[in-house]
Amino acid sequence: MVFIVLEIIAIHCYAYSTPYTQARMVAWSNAVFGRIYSAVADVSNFFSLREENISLTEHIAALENRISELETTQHTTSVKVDKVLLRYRYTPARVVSSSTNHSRNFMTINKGTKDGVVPDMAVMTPEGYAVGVVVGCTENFAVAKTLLNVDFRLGGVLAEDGSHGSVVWSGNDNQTIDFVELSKYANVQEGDMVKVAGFSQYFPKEAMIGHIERIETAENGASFRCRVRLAADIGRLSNVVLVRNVAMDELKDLEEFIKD
Amino acid sequence: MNARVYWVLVLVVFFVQVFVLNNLSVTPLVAPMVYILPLLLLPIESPQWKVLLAGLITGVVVDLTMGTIGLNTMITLPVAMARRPLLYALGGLSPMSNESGVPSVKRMGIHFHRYIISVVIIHSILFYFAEWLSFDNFGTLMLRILCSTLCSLLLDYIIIMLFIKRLSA
Repeated sequence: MVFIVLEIIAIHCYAYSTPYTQARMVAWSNAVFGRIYSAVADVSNFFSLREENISLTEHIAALENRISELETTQHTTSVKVDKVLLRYRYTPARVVSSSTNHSRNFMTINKGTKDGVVPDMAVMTPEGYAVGVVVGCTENFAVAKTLLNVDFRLGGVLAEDGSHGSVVWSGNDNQTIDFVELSKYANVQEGDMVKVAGFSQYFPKEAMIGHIERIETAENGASFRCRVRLAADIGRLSNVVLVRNVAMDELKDLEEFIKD
Repeated sequence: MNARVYWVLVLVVFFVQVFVLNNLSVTPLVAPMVYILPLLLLPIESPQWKVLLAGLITGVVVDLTMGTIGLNTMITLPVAMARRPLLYALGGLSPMSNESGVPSVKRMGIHFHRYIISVVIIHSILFYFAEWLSFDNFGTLMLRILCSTLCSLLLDYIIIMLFIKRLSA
């Protein structure tokens, strides 16, 4: 009898859980286990310091090149940028733990509400590749739903062609993702780049998702279904950048106002 | 049963599951689950309520760390309930024999392997079907069950080899 009651409660909890309640639970457990996760992550990160240094050096070099390009093209001495134009705010963070071998995968990050992290912030690699979205926070930690989560759906765009589609994970492989509902009139080729659609509220415009690896026609015959190799190796990330869309609250208020 | 060794086993299994296996990033086809092992190695004579309570605590703790509200609890409870019938049906034990102590090869012979392998397979099938909740990509799901079960069994046997002598002492 006790077994039946407990089993019914467990089934009920599972049936009515949502990605957000799941993330909240992970965030809550991180308040207990977060320190141990951090210690384990520090040990494993120690062994990848060399690759990390090389990657960061390359990234700095690329940014310096970009700055020098801008300096040569813009001869004006100084331009005062209005705060309104600074749409995104970036916060570097470290990955404490990350799962990739379940159907609903999450990533725990070592920054929380006390560092200004809030739900709906985008998570990207330092190179600017899309990783996921923050769905829950505690004071010291945040939990993000990654692209490797069957419940996660993101608008994508073909960089070369401009055609839109949706990015979803089927759970088959943690290095690839599906780009679906792409118009059959799109001029898509293997190797084409897929970026986050410009209308995404979370990511900076056209953050990179990956490259097309395989193209096939969808079962309904009306669209393409493409396999995309992810630019970010989500399971091996140790550093990420959290991106806050400063205008997000304003956008949400506006949408609510229009709905009302 | 050596209670101190049993608690060390529980801690080792918990650490391996939560901090190592849950963060594996090799392929989604391999997601080993070793957390039911302490449940399987409870003494044969353990009362059913104790096994059920151990199953409940195990499931809830793993759910908390994995963010899978109810999933592990939902699967661990029937496994805990089925433990005794499986011990008798597959473990070569008789309800009349009053056999006691930790399940082991020494005590159960070859039947011990049948018992461990069967429970791990049942747990894996229930878990991955419940996690997937869909028959799309059925082939991938079966492959995932196969790879994860084999990997879980391998890890289970490594842990059993490390602990069983001291546990039975």
